[in-house]
Amino acid sequence: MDNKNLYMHNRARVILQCAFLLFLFAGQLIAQTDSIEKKQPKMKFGYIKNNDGSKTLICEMNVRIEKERFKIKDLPINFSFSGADSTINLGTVKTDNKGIAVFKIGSNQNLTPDKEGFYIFKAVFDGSSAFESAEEELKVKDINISLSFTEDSIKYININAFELINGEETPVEGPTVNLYVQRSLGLLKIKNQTLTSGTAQFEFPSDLPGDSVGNLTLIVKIEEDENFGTVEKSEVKKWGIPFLVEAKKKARELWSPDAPLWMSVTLLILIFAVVIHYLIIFYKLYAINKEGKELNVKKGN
Amino acid sequence: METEKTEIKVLRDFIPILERFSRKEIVVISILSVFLILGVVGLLFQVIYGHIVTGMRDNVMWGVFIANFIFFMGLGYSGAVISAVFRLFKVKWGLPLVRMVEIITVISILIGPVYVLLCMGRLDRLQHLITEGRIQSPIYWDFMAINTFIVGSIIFLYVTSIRDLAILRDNSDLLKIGKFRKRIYSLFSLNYKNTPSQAKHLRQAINIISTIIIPIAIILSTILSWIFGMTLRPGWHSTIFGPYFVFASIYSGTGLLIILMIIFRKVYKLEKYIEEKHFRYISVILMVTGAFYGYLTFTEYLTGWYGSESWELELIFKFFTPTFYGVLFFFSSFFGILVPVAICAVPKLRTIPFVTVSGILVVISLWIKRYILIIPTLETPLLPIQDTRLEYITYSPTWVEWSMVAGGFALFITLFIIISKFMPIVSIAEVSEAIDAGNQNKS
Repeated sequence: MDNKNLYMHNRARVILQCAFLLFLFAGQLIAQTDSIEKKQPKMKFGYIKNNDGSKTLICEMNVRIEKERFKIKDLPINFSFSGADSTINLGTVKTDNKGIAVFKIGSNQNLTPDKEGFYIFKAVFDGSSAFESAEEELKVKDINISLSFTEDSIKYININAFELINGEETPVEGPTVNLYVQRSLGLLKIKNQTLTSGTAQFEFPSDLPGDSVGNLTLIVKIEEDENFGTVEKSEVKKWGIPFLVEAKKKARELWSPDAPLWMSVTLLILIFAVVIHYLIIFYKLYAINKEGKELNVKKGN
Repeated sequence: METEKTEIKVLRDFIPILERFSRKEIVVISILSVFLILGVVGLLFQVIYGHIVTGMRDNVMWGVFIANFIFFMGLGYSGAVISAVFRLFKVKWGLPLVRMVEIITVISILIGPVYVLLCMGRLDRLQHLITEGRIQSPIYWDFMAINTFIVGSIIFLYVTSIRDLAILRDNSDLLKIGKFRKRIYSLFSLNYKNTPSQAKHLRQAINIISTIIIPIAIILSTILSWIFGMTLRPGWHSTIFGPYFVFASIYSGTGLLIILMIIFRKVYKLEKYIEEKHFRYISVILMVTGAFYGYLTFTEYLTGWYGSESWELELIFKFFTPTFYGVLFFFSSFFGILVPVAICAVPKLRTIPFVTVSGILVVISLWIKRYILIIPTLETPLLPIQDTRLEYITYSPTWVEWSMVAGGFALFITLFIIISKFMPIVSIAEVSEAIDAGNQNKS
């Protein structure tokens, strides 16, 4: 290599090395400027009394970063109960991908409320290297809802709600009860009413489509009440209009009519044009091979 | 007789490459095997545990796999276009390079689509692309185009290799190779004896495939760009994406060709066939395609910025902010366009070392370009993402993805070395013809 080429060679090597160094270390230099700072998560604590009498404690954790809120997964949430006698540690559940930790209390688990009839639940997050600690407490009373139905020319749903105070059934006064019907993608709200002397009555519409035999799932809910939390009661009734959907099979194959005609024609022309050329080439190769074979035979003769 | 002698002379130069794996090659293949095994481990990990082991999530659902897919497909198209143009326009100086670019095409086009499969969650439904494919979908167009191009590029490599296969068959005694390989040469050379009629058929076949492979490669490259261009997303929804992808492909393919030229020239001592003038000429191609590619890049970002559409601006902000994609964008633009084009624009700098540096910069930058084409756009959705997890917003490739990316590159190099053992990487028939023609002109 002459001096000129050697000089060019070395210069090229230096340029390349500089480019690589810049590329490799730029990310690290930027990363060094970042500092770790603990974030304060926001805890949302809720209570649901389910249809079967079991209770669900729901704790949702999220954090605000700049202008957006993000769910936080894998945070251990400790649930506890404080009643008349003592505090019971119910257990620890980690938040899931949606930032929610759910703890279920079976209907057979005996929890004793305090003197005023309140069940006190607590959710505690002890904090981590990335997040500050957080805790929430909620006080709820136990409520029992029963449903009865009157079927005549008009259909009625009768609601009876009571709480146990010193072992006696006491009608609940005040909370708002909502009536929903389960639809494919969510709940359809029908009406709401305030409980008076523990009772409420809803007139049910007669024109709601049900499933193929007319079944409807009726859901009665007290939602996020300050004394009772969320309480659900549901039942399936044949009060809907049978609704049969005839599934129309829509072809999605290559020959589907959905594609515009010009598109299908263009595609076919292009494929045809290419395949024809490929076939001509195959023919040429066949002719080469055939002639070569004939020459071999002649030589053999 | 004279032609035969030249053919044998040229063949003798390639006998050491064709006969055995050298120590250096065995060492290289052993190192590459480590990456290949790593790629297989990553693949198994993904198959067993699912896509959760990758960095891809709901919002950023494409990552380095698709970047690699576009990169390899680009190399494939460029190889086909460069070789076909050299053949159709009878560019004599390009004859020693055509085989290499044809091999690049076939290997790239076979490896590239694998990365799409790696992105798919339900490979058991792959046949639905045929049975339930929708003609309206650009992905379906791409599926059809890729399959057409795979067939075309294999035909292209095969048809242009028949004469060499016949030379290897007829001179197999010169090579210390097994009977199996001799049979392979005999079978695939299709009894070619270079009779006037056979030569005419072969010439016509080469001309047909050279003519048809150019539009196929351009259509395929354009269709690939439409997967992005047809989508209403900032940074993707652009009318110039078709030609942008075509030039990016040829640009990166030329860069890779330069790298392979220097490797084969040095390792196999092919200075006689891959001369300094080849680097000089190829640098002009690199400069022209690079200038076009740079022009399209400038147009793309200028129109996006000038329009001041909020999502487009958000994306452009990320490209010009070092804490986001500023460093990568700068590298891909400055070292990927300006530096190589500037080097190749100065005749004095069109030397082997400088052209090689340009080629390396182009290949690295164009891979980075594919990365920043995909990820920042997916991280900048048209609707703000609310109540979602942090790892869904931004994308970071995991070791599983890097292992398969490395495995793909290792497979590319390994296959190239293996093919070079079966087939001369320079077209013996065409080069010897050119040498004879040159000698006749002199005399």
